[in-house]
Amino acid sequence: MIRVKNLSINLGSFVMKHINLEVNTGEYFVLIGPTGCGKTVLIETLVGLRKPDSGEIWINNQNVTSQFPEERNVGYLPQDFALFPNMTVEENIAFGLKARRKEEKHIQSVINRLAESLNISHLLLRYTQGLSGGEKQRVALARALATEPEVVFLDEPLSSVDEYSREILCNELKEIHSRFKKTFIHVSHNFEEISEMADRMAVINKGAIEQIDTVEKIIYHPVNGFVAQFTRTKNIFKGTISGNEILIDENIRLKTKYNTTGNVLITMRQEVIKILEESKGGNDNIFKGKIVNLKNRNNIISITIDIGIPITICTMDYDLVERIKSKSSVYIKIPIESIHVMKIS
Amino acid sequence: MKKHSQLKRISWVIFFSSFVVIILAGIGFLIITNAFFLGFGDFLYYLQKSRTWINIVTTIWTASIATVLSMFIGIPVGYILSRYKFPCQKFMDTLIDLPVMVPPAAVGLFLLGLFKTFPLSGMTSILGIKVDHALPGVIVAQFTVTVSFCIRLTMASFETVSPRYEYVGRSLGASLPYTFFKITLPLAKNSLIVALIIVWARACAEWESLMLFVGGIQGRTDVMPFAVYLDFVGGKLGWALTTSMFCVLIAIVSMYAVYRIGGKAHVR
Amino acid sequence: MSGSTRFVCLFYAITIVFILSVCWLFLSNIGYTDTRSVLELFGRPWFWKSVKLSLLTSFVTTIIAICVGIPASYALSRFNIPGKTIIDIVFASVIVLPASTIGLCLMVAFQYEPILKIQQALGFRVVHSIPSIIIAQLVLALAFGIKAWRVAFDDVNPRYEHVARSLGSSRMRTFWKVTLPLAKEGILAGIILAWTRAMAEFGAVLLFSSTFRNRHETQFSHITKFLGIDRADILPVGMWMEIEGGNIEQGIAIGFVLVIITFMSVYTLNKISGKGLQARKI
Repeated sequence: MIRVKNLSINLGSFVMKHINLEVNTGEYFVLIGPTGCGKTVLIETLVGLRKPDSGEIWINNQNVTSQFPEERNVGYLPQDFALFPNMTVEENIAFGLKARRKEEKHIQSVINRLAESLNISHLLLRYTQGLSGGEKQRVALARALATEPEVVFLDEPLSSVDEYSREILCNELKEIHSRFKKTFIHVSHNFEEISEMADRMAVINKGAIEQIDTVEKIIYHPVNGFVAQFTRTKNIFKGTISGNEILIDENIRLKTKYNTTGNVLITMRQEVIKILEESKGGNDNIFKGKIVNLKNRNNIISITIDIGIPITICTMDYDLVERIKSKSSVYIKIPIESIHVMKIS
Repeated sequence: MKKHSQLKRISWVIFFSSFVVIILAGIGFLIITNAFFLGFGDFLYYLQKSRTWINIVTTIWTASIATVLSMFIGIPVGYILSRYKFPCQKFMDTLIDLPVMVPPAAVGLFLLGLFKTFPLSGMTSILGIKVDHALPGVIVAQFTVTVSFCIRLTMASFETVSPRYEYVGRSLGASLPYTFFKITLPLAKNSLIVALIIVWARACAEWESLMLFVGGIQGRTDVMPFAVYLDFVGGKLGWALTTSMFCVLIAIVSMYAVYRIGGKAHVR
Repeated sequence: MSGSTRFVCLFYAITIVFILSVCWLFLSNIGYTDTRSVLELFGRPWFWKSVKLSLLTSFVTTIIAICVGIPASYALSRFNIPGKTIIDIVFASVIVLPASTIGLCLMVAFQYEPILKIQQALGFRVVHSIPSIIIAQLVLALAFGIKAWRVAFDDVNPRYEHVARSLGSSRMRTFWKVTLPLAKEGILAGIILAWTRAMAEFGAVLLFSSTFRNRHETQFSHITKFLGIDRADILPVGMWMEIEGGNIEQGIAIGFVLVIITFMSVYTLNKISGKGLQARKI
């Protein structure tokens, strides 16, 4: 288990303050945030490459705050994996064990076991130049796992890999994680790339953690506008709530399950709003509108419908889209439970 | 229209290249006149003299010792400078650059003073090392002038090695010295060899600081550049020119070696 | 204490000891001079003439180096000149040539029969004249300047030039408006470097131009007298002559003047040039 208590790090341009984290053993934990939010600095601090100004880092009930990286027993995969170019794949994997002065026989058995399991036995005698992205990743993981680390830190390892291979590498990473049952902490700035592998994630912005939760919670219950935008929520509106009714733009009234008063931010995920061909009447939150935009991206159709406010809906129901395309007006239904409301001052 | 733009392009290239030609012409002018003046026969004649060879050997071994000493300082300091920040960075950088940028003659003068003041004056007499009019002084001068040079070059070498390799090495449980010797040094090897050669060539060429620091005695402290001066003043122009040609040869050969080992980037 | 701490401490210690030794190298010499001899030095018209001569020659040298060196560096950086590798090697070896060799080569070249005849026909003799100081300084100033300017131009991505040209800008305009401004810092650094080198030149000048202080007044032209640089030497040569003449106090004082000048120019150099240039500077 990794525990970060009240960590603060001075970055010169801004300060990371009051970072609190808890990562469970065996978890795939993702630190995510836009470029320059301080996530790489945070991971470098956890690895031990940087000294925090205050706060504590605990790995497996041991305070490692003042320890060097070599004393922390962690794995680290930086950008492009940083495989040592002056060594063969085998020597790369053996590096950590040799540094710990393990005996040759033990080293050899670890190498063989890992190479077998990660399917890199045929590469052992090669130098690291000219390996493919996937091979590099597996070698880097083998090197990190050879020393039996408590936790493996991955610092945007996929940032320089092309889109197509990235997907494959992501799946492989997830698969290796579930096989070795190590704690993985992965830093990324790409929400789509990472959302399917994470058990939990922490969204970081400008040096502060905005939200720590499961992926589902972060998508459907963001704590603020930043998180909602970061998770690609398309429908974000300002409005006022009184009782269980929200008023947006003076003319749109939405029923919710919440019951408060004041100014609020409303988010509605684009994939849960439904398109109806005709109004079935009687139900709440059904609106009539006009299609203003229709885009197809990665075989997901995103439709913008103007109901007084522009609502974006994503669907893969091509037949439905085909049918409503030419209609002058369509109806949408916003399910009550899909409306998420955040208080703003 | 097409012809016109082609003409423009060519004149553009020729305009800039002509300045390269001017410089080359200057260098060629120097080399050719010198070669003609000396003549091949004289060159061969002086080559047969043992004094020429003694000078060459003296230069090579003093410069080699100075280079090794420089590298002993240059590698740690260059490494620290490439990886860590100092308070008043620019000020410290300037201090480090100073010995190579100050006129070497002034460095020689200050060395003279340094070895006559308290700690070093005592130390040299206790250890029985003689610096003025002696070869240890030559080595000290060569070392002083090349060490800053060496630090800059090693620093550049270490900067070509991404610190990420060291980070990974350390996360794998290796201490800093282990990663330094197993990763950083091997990765920086080529450019460190290049640094070594350049520093050596520079040490071979050091003379101005010797003028004031050790003083010239023929047959004792005359490394090649010094011998050139002494022979010139003594009116032995043939000797001087032969030795000077050897200096040119050393410079060109070492730069060629730099090119072969380090590639284009290092000779620019 | 762990291995890493010990390692860093050792390397830091070496660095700090080195920096302190550099300071000590210069500061230990303060005892050899005193205020009185410094004031005396400043009171000598010869000293001010020498300062003037040093500044004037190094200034002219730098201007010539700029005019020839910057276009040459641009050509070397951008065009595929035949034999570029050899040119690079030759230019790089000039930097590691002994000053005495440079001085001697210049001496011999300008004393060579046919060249001497041309000079006689023009009624002018280069060797041991004041312009010869500039020629001697130019060799190294140009070599160092080209090295720095080359790096400056190489650091400018040619893509900027391509974009500017695609937008309809002529080559000339692109060079002045895009390339030069982008390479500005490096070019400035190269200029300072060339000037510092020119100021520091001693050996080549000593051989090629010899000294002027003890020459007779009639040997100097009216222009030199008008500029007030007759019977003076550039500072490094002047320093050497003071020491040879046994005037240690004033020799060291000149040495300190040179150190201060160098310190200021190197500090400016470090201030304006980024770390990348600085590392490849010399």
